[in-house]
Amino acid sequence: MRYVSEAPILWKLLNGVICVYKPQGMTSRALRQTLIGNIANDLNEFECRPPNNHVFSRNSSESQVVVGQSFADDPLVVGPRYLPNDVRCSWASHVGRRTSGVFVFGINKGSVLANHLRNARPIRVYHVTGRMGIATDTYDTYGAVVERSTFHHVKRTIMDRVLASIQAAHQKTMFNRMGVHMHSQAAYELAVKGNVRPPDGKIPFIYSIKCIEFDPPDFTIEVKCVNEHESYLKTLVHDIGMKVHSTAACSSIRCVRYGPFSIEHALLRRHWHLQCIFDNLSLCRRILHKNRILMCDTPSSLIENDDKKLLECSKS
Amino acid sequence: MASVMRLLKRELVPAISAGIVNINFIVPTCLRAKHKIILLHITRTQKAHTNCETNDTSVHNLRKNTLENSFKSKTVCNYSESDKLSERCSRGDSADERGNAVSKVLQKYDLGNFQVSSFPPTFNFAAYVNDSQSLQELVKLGVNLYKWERRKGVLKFILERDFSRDMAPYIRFLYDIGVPADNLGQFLTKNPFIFKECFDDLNVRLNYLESKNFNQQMRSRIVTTNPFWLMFSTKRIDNRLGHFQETFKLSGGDVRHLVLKQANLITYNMHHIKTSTFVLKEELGLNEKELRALLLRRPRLWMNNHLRLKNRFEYVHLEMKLPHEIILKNPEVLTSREFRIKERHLFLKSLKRDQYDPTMPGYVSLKALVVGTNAEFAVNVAKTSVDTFNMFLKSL
Repeated sequence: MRYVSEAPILWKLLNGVICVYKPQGMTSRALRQTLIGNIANDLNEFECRPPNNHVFSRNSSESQVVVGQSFADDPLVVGPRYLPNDVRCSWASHVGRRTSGVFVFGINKGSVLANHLRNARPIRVYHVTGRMGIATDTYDTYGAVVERSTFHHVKRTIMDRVLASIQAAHQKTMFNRMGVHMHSQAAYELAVKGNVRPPDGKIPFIYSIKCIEFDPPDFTIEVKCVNEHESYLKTLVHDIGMKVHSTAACSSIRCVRYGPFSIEHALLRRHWHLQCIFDNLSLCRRILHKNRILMCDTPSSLIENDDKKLLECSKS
Repeated sequence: MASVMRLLKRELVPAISAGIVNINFIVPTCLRAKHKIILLHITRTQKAHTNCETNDTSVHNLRKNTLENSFKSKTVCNYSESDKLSERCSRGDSADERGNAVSKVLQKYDLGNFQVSSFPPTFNFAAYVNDSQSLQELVKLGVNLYKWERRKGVLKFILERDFSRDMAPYIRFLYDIGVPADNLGQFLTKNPFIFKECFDDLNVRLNYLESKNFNQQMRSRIVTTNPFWLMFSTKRIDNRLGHFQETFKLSGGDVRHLVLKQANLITYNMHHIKTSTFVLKEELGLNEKELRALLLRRPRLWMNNHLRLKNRFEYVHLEMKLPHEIILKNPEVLTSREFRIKERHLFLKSLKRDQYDPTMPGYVSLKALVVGTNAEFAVNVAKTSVDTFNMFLKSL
């Protein structure tokens, strides 16, 4: 443990991936803006670099020359030492406005890492809540209701049956897309290696889907998938509604796991300040180091897990 | 400004043509275009400057070198006689003589900010501040010069002014009327155009406040909290105070209370204020008496974003099902952000503690709902721990 009060050292250490809890109703862009704004404000409150020296000639006679702090380098003249836009910050994968939950950001040099994380296509786990009996124009409960229906005939068993058929259909498509027949030896060999990874980042794949809460008209399903996006999950709820011979609209989407990062690692809105961000950076570094098999294409220097070495690097 | 230009034309141009002076004058771009005066760019090497040490002899030599460099280097001149000028300048006069001549000219005609400098026209103060005594004084006062750069016209406006001649009297005036010394920088950052007003106007505006029974302490508070107050003519201020008095049927004492509570409201965008009144009255359905009480307790609401204010009110009124009386008794709830109310209300609801009726047991006041940190709220109001509240927030 070491206490640091100099902003330049903190700035040099501010590299890596953090995991925040995105509130529902906030856009990714607004979240990013808040985060980098907080980082810049907090850094400016630490000991910043003093102004450079400047040679002042006080009088017209030449011998009177004084070296002093340059006014041109004063924070009052050139502005604060750290500005929000100085922080490079990019998300590992875009999350829609209505989605809440785990959201992974790369900061400064970590934005490269965030890119690698996206290319690794980790499995995401969502808790999606739907409400039966209504259908809306936006597929979520915020839109205008376009259709109403009954839902009393829908029982837990019917729901489970529909979800199982969706999961089976997705598994079948996965093998088809890999170009192997379901009943062949090649398919068997592909399956024993573990989860079948999609060849590209385009088409959403569901690995597992099950109902975890059923309280008509509301139901919650847990979806484990890759390549999904917000509108895909909304339409999934809509389709489930149709398949159980009713209608459904999505009332909340919560990401509970993003690859190795889960909800207990995520920073709540009131913890989006420098101290917590640094704690989270080292936590995420440890998690990524532990799961480096996921990031097989990533240079090992990016997922280095040695705090002492990092501190030395920042000092030199 | 015009007199300075005249001086430049009458006295300095002949001096240059006689070969005595050949320097750079930093003149704001717009002025240059307007008056067609000289502008000579000399690119002086900054390296010699930065390597300079405090050692007297080396400084002497370096300084000499830089001066010579500056006079030998290539000149670009807009003036019609430029070629002749540069020829004359390259004659064998010693650099020191010319340097002295320059300072004499500058001393003779108090040229204010027009310092001998090699900076090209610029968009920020940083280029000038090391050479300009006036800007340095402003920095020492704590003025955020970089904030001025964002505003149109301020750069030119300030560079034309000399500190001791054009700014100090105003600063002295502000200090005398009760703006605290450590607030002066903040005041000027917000309103540099105070230097434009004439003293008679400022005194009239202060006298107006005095005539409306604002005592010395009140006046200094108004001017400090709202740096733009003194920019508004007496007539405009009177109209605005009249608007508030008539619309909300306020007494003289109420108006004074309002002005002291939120001086910014009086000089705020009038269209915004009128729309706010409309939103509160017609869309949220407050009656005249409620509006007046709200204005006197939370005048800041009138400057808030209308949509957000409406959403917040609708959440409390329609979702939490609270009547107007309870909301107006605790107007704090309308000034806090919606997500804050929402999170805390849902948490209380999950614990079955959302009881906002003061006549029933287990009462939670709306004020207690929104004030304080999350930890204070979780322990004192929800009677649980922070961790439980955090867990709940991660389930939303």
